[in-house]
Amino acid sequence: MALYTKAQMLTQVRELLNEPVALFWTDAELDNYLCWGTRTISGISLCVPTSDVIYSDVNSSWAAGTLQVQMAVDFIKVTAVTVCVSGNASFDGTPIQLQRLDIRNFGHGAPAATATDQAPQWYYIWGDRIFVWPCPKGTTISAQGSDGGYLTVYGYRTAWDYDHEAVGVAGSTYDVPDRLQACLLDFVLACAYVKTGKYSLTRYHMANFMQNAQMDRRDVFESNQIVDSLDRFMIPDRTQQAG
Amino acid sequence: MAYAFTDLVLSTMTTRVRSMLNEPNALIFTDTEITDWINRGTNIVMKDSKCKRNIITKLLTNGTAEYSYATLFTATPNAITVEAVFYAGGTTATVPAPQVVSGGYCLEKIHPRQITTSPHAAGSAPRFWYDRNDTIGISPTPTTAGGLAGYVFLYYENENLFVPNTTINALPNHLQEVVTWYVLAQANIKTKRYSVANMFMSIFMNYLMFYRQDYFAKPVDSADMMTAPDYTQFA
Repeated sequence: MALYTKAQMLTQVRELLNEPVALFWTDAELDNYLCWGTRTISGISLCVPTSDVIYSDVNSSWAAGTLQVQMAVDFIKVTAVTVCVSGNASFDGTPIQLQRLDIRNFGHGAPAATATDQAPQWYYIWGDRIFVWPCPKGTTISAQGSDGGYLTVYGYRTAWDYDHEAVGVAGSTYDVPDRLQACLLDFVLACAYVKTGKYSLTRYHMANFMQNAQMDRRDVFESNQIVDSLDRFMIPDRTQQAG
Repeated sequence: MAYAFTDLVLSTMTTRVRSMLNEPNALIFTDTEITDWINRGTNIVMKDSKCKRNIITKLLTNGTAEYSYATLFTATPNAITVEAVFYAGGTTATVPAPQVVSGGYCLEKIHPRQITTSPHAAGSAPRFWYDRNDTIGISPTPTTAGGLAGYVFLYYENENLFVPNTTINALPNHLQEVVTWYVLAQANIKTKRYSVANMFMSIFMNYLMFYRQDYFAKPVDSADMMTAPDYTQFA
């Protein structure tokens, strides 16, 4: 449940604009700014995690012996890629975490790019395509429906709208977490004040929006990228300072 | 029907801009002007964010070391830069699809002044590439091996794959709406409100640089990042 529904958000905006009923700003305009802000905040704070599962069936672009596959999701950032290759006892059913490489690494080192029938170890991304190396081939990959060889790409995408439909339920899904909804108001106000020519207010609200969105990014997304070091599990030794 | 991201189209963007300029019908700003600004903004975003990336396959010519952009990028023009060159070799006349591994390796990029100091003898397989004046050079010069000098895949960044005056959806989802700020800046230049234009341009550039870092500057994973730390020694 969201803190505010879309209608409640627009009411909040109108309250802040001191225009409870549409006179200068139409509902369509404010709705447009809210949708725009939702997409923008997801791009900055990376608050919409998503994954793209690509099966290795005959209809997929990731067929045996192919290195490259097209991703269906417009990722802003890819954080991890796993592959599950069936047909090989060592890897059957257990996802393998792939290591990200630079494109220039490709083909150098062992196993050679020609090596096939091996478990994939690395990936890199170029545009909307992901490359897996070594590419599974022949017996190391089987079609979906048997053991289910598949590739999973984890990352973050752009939000779609403030609220949108889950299948069959209108306005039921919220892309932006509750904690960012107040921050969104600043974006909507910044846009609304452009129309009135009150540009200093636009600047004020946009600065607030950017600071809050980036703070959330640091607090949530970036903190999740930091793992505990071994040092954090040791009590510091201060005995050498005693006496 | 499940909801999905709706790409921006020109009419939606124009309506939004007119709304923010408080000019629903053309008086000061014509539709043609706004369209031009949207297209120009899209082009700038495309160029500066490095968001459009493609691959082409090129059959090298025996004895030819250099290939101009004009001859390489005939199908998808306006390449900005070439990022990497993968040498796939090749012993048949069949053009290999870039996604299929048939052996090969990425060439190392060098400066043209380094060509003569190559440790690889002439006639051996290509090992290096360079970019000089919109021309890609391969070193050592490709020679016939089993009938062909070999294929290369060029990974490059390009601009202008969108259809002018129709859509800005050639941009990735998160970059489409950034163009709005550019258009507002241009509109305020026309009305001589330069400080306001400067503010909108600052917002535009701020978003653009932020997204460029996210999209383009992606480091590789180090070996440590692939291993779970062992805490058992502290138990």
